[in-house]
Amino acid sequence: MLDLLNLRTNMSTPESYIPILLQMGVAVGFVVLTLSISHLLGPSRKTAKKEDNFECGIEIKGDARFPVSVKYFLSAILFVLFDVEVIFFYPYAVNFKSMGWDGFMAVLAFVSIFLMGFLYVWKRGALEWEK
Amino acid sequence: MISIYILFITAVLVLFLGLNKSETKFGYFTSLILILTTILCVAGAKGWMNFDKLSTWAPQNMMFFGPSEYLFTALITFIVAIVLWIFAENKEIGTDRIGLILFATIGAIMMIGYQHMVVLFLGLETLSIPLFVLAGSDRERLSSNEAAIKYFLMGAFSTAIFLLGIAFLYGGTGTMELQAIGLKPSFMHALEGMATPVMIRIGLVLVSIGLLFKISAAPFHFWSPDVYEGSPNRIMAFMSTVVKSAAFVAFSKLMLAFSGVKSDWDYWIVAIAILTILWGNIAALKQNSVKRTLAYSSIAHAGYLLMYVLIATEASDFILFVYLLSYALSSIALLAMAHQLQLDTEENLNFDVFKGLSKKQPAMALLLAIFVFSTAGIPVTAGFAAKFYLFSSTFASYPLLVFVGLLGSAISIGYYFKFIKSAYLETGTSDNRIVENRWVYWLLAMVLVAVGVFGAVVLQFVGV
Amino acid sequence: MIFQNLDISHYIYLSTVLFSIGLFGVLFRRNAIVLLMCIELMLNAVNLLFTALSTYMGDADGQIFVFFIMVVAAAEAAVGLAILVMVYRNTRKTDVSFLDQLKG
Repeated sequence: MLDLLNLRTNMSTPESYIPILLQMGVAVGFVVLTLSISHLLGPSRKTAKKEDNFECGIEIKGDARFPVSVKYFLSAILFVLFDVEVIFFYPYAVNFKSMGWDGFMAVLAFVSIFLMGFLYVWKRGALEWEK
Repeated sequence: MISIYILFITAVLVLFLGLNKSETKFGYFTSLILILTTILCVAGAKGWMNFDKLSTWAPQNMMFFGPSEYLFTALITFIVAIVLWIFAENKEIGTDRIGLILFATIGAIMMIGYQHMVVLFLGLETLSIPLFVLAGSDRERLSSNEAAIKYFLMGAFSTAIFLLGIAFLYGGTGTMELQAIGLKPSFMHALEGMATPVMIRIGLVLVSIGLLFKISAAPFHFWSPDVYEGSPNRIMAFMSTVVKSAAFVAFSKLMLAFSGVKSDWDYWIVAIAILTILWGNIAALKQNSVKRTLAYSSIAHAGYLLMYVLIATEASDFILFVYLLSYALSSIALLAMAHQLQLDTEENLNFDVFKGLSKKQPAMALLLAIFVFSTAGIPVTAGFAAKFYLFSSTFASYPLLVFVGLLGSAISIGYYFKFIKSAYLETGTSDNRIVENRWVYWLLAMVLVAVGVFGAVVLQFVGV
Repeated sequence: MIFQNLDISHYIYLSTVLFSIGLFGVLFRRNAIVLLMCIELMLNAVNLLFTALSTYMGDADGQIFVFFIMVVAAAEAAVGLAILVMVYRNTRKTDVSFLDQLKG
């Protein structure tokens, strides 16, 4: 087990996540605290207007579960695809200096390939909202 | 590597130039490029040309192309070229189907040349994801939709199992490079109650299940007849040959790398091979549709090919090569002939399409007989030579398996005879269409007979 | 801290259990969207296992593999959703019970 511990030294240990845990605790605690205080101290008057869903002041129209146009699906699918590609930039950003020009050329090739994909989607007319 | 570059550039060109145009011309153009790639790959395999400079971007521990990898790449590109030429379609708008076929081919080539599990996984997915789309490319036809969704669910499910297997292998061996297996010390020794071999064995079984789904071996074959029948004929020809060839090359490479672990517990692969041979052949007997018969026949062939996975050594590539060549060429030719003789493309493809062929087009009926004989493994054709090499080298270590294989081949005569019967013995409606692209069929038949008769000479060229 | 007392075997058991939940979901649910979610769960169980093993062995390969799995899973989900939209246009259902056209 000794060599395992040595290997761990240059990686992030569980302890380094403690600040994140603390921050999460503070965030959740604040919300719970303010909500419960306003619930306990404030008077409770129930009217029909108050029981309604609040949607930035506009009157509610219809159901939330109406069928969505297929165009939204298409855009959403394309967005997910191009969004996830960004994941490969994270390891590159961390090792940006040490990888030098070779790494830069590789990333350039990668970006140009998925720009080609974007160009094809565009030419194909998948991004046109109204035909 | 060179094949991947060429195919990628061709795919991008075809996609951009062919926007909103008919795909016929682009299909022939792509086919010619693929033939060129085949020639280059054969040259690379024989050492007439050297493409090492092009491979500098890809580290050797990721992907490596030696002579045998080049040969299998040449086989794949040749199969795709034939499929694109023989099933050339006129009515489609846009060339995205050809682009997708090319991308899938790149995935197959990655699966052949992999040295690292990442490349195997990416190749498998690059091969599968375009095929999910292609299987459903007849958008209006409900059976095509069903094929797409079935293939997608099965593909994603098997990928997940395959990945869990890779994770276990990674834990068991400490590496994902094929060359480094057994060299790196694994950290799993520290673990109590979970010794290294257990991790590796679980991983190997899971990875195999993932690949057995792809090659549709029983009991993981249930999706394949439905998917093959529902998808367009051209895509069925692609799926039943290219996917199977690539998966078998990858599978035998993996088993070779783990041969030290495999040797004492390969009985479960033997069991799966026996089950696949019997199930495929017996289920094929009661089918009426040409596509379903060919689907079950391809399951049976997967069973025979599993024998090769058991006996694979570094020097035995030629057995796999000859078998895949004969199987792929003859099944593509059979499907293409049925496709071209069919009058109404909406209808079910049954054996009636061959009725009266010997009267109207006797030469084509003769070629049909050659293709059927080759698939069934009857002498003087490549199918017989391939089965002979495979069975004779398996016999020493697995006599029972060879016996089952011979039994399966005997059963298979029952359903292959249906082709001959409807072409020669039944005089039916005389309105079947004319077979086009006749010279391609002649070429395929000549290759099959040449390999069958001059097997040894061909093998010498292949480099045994 | 509590994390350091965890042996690697706990991660293996956890990810195997998560994987099995996804697997049984795929086998027994009928709605295609739920099937997609179950497959996603299986892939994420594998991701967890890779990350745990990679940290345990001090080898970066496993974590890089996780990136590739995420990207491929997104591509697969995109294609799967597109296929579902196509099927929904023709049948108005996302239930897999319509999958009985092809039998023989």
